[in-house]
Amino acid sequence: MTAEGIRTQDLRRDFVMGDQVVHALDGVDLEVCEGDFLAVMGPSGSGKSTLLYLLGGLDRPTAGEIWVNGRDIAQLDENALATYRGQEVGFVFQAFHLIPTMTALQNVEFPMIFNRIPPVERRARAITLLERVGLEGRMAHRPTELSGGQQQRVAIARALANDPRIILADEPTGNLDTHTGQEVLDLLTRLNREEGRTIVIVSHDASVTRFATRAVHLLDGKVQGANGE
Amino acid sequence: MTVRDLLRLVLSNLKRMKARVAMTAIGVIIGTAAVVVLVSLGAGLQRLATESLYGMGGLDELMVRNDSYWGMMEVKANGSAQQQQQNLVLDDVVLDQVRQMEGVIAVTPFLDVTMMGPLKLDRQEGWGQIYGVDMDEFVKVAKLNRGTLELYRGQVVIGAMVPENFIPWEEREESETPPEAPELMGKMLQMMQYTYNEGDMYPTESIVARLEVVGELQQQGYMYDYSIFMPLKEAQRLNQQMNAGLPPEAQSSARKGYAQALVKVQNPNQAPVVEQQIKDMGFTVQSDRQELESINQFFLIVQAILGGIGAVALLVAAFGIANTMVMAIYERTREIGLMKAIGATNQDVMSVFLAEAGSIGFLGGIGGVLLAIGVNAVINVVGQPLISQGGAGFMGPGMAGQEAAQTLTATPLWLPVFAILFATLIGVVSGIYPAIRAAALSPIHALKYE
Ligand SMILES: Nc1ncnc2c1ncn2[C@@H]1O[C@H](COP(=O)(O)OP(=O)(O)OP(=O)(O)O)[C@@H](O)[C@H]1O
Ligand SMILES: [Mg+2]
Repeated sequence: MTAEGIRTQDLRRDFVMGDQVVHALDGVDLEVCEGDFLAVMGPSGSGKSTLLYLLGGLDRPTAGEIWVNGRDIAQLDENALATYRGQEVGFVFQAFHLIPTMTALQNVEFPMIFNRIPPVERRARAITLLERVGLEGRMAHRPTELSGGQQQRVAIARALANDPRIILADEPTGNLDTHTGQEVLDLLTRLNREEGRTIVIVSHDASVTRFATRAVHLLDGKVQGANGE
Repeated sequence: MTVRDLLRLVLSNLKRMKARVAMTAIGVIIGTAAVVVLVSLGAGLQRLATESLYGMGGLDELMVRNDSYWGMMEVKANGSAQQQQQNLVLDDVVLDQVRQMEGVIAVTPFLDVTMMGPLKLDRQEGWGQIYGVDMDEFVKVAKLNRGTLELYRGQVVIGAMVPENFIPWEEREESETPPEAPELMGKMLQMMQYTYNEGDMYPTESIVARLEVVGELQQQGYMYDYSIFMPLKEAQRLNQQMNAGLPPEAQSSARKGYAQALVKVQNPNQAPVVEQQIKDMGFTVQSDRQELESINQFFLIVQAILGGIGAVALLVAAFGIANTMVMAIYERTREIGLMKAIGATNQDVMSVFLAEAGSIGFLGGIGGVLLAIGVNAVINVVGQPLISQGGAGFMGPGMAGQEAAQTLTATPLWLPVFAILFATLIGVVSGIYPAIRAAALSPIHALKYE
């Protein structure tokens, strides 16, 4: 494996519900190379979101290793993990999770605040990013004044704010109609093809595989077959 | 996250929950106002009490008395009982020693001029104790209001209240407000001697001296205000003249040195040391300090109690802030999750919530101080009659001029500053628990929260 990219080893995440233990991830070994566009497929409840949260540093594994850019993020302390979330990965959610009181521009600037980017630079970068996702005319709009597809594009611009090499998207088209969903997927594809960013996308939708360079299938917390491995 | 970004974020968050912030802040406003008003009231009462103590010039002045001075006379009449202290003399030699003490900047005897009758301004009788003072030293203690302190023979300088002693009795009784005191500057006061010959109904009046008033002091304590000052030499000469008619043992020449002397130190906190040194020499020292200390101690307790009552109100407000912040966490759970997902550290999240809570305290503190200013103004208007009525007896006669400037409350400058800081601190402290809760949220749990 290379120092760049993502590699998990025997990754486990258990949820204890009363006296019952759910093995949401049950020993996942996965390798994503720098520049890959990986689609994570699988039925509902198979552990796709759980995997993505672990890769994004939003959750901690019960056991196993997650090597990203040469170090095991499962071992990072809280502050280092926060920095990792802020600078090395960008997360795109199905529900957008934009701050309703902030404009599109402010939403894109938000991650740069925690990364201590000076205001002028921050503003300039947010404008560039919104132009990149095709929202140059919507910068002062609040989320409620934007369509779903536009909101998701703001969210993608936000994920790019601190210029991470890795984008993690959990069903980014799940709340969108087919047409706007395609637009969002096109955008992600361009980020992969034109800028070489590593993309991991979770989707039920088989059409995603048309854009992806690779796909893995999860079932009951395990990777199925050797497709692409 | 920089402080600037933090403040901007906090401000926009507070704007979002304007109504709730306002209602929470009302608790802080009331608490802060209570603290400020009650402590101001305590401080105001303290000021009234300490100013009634306006005895001497100030805390940097000491009056040294030789208790055995008058005793020297009694010794001859009563026998040996008080003879032990007979050789204690407050004379120029002793005063020179005092002058050498660290911090002492002026020493002058206060020589009582024997008076055998009143003073007269034309036909109007008045009074005022005349003291002989070392003018070279006196200029360092006396605060001249008008005229001069350069006295030639037959000239005197008067205390601020002396003219009031020349208001005719009829006028005093007739009018409710104190009548205008006559102008003494530039006038001649006649020092009268009344002698009673056997069988006479009325005394025989004779003029001992004519004293020209060339200077008037500022109001600076009763030792000055009701006194008339002349150069020491002249006072001694007058005393000799007055003593001529007295039996030998009553003559001041039978007594050595001075009965009292005034000592001024450069800095009030040097006073206790000087005071002790002089006491060690056997003299009595009178100063405002001891009395002031006990008054201050009493009012410190009063203020602590009053401030404590206000602080309880603030404590209640603290629970209001904590409650508001916990509510804010519930409302903004997903937002907190998002902040963490895009790189906010636990400290970032904590500081947002602490700063929001602190800001509510700060805003409430400012509002409270403003409210307190208003309430104090009302108290002072309503309470004004109380001090002007009770004041006359409380503060001694003739201080009418000062009463107008008196208020029931006194707000030291540190108080509003302290109150605002304290309210802010209360806010921050009550934000600690909510802030820790917010910071401890797991990002995905927070994001999934409905
Ligand atoms: N916080 C949690 N507590 C308990 N169980 C959980 C929790 N999060 C996930 N699970 C369980 O873990 C398993 C995997 O869930 P996950 O959300 O990863 O599924 P998914 O593949 O993303 O499904 P979907 O396609 O519906 O989003 C599920 O059985 C789910 O019930
Ligand atoms: Mg999912």
